[in-house]
Amino acid sequence: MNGSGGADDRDLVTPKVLGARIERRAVRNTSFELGRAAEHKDVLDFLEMFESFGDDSSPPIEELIEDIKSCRHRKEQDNE
Amino acid sequence: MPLVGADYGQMELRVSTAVWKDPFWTSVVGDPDVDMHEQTARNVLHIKGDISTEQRVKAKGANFLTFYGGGAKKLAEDTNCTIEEAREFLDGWHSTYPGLSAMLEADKKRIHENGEFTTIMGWIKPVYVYDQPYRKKDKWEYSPRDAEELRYAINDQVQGPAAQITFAAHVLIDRWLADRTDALMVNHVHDAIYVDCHPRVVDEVSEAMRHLMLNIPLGDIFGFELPVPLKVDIKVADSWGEME
Repeated sequence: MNGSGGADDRDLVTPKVLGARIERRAVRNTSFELGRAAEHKDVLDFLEMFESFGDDSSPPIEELIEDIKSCRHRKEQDNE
Repeated sequence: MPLVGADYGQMELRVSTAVWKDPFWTSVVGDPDVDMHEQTARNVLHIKGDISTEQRVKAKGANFLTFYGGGAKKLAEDTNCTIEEAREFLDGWHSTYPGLSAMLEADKKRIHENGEFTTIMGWIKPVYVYDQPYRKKDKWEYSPRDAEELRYAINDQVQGPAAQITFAAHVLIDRWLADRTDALMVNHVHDAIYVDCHPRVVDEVSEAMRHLMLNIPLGDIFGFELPVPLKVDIKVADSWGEME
């Protein structure tokens, strides 16, 4: 009745995928909404607490560059 | 939360040095000590000293028009001068960079004959042309619809690789951000990438973005190298409105 044709990918959503989507959306919304009120110290305090739940480390930059260097090579090998 | 915007500077012009390998053009684009638009204005207008803002704007317009298409009318509109002045400036531009100018003309003729072109990444794109070109003075003239296709063909050769480089930067920055909760990539506009982050990590994020964007292993990923270095401008602002 809604006029959409073909398979609806919402049918394919597993609980795990849905959980990941909700988590991602929550992070995004929190970031945007807090952004509007970023000058308020209590917001920053809250964010500190929020961040304590996550992993705020990044992989070494040079490692990432080295890793992406091999992508083309790997793809060519796969094609062979 | 602060927004960190990392923007590739003059990306298409830098890519053009890898597509049409004109030494003089490459030397102007790649010189880190000079502003390429100012230098173009000096070259075109034969000025040794300082140039005015209007002259720089006109030179910048001419530099970009070469790869985006458009003639004296467009330059006149963009820079608020007469069509005659714009035409004179563009003639000066072609005299200043005769090598590049000739390469571009030869490329258009070749693309018109072949009906396709290959980018520096090895991608082949068909070009649909219909009419016979004719010779006018010392250059080929194309019908309006063919000229439009050829403008796209020239533009695609710089914008295509430029976009791919930015996508590679996007992937690298995304991997660097990993699962961080203090920084999130929020937008990607043309050749700029924006990350929303905690004030505490602004410097760390800015430096990582700059480093990753400048050090993309182009040869390994795409199979071509740029003869000039890339340039990245970082801006930090509290809102989109302050970004510009």
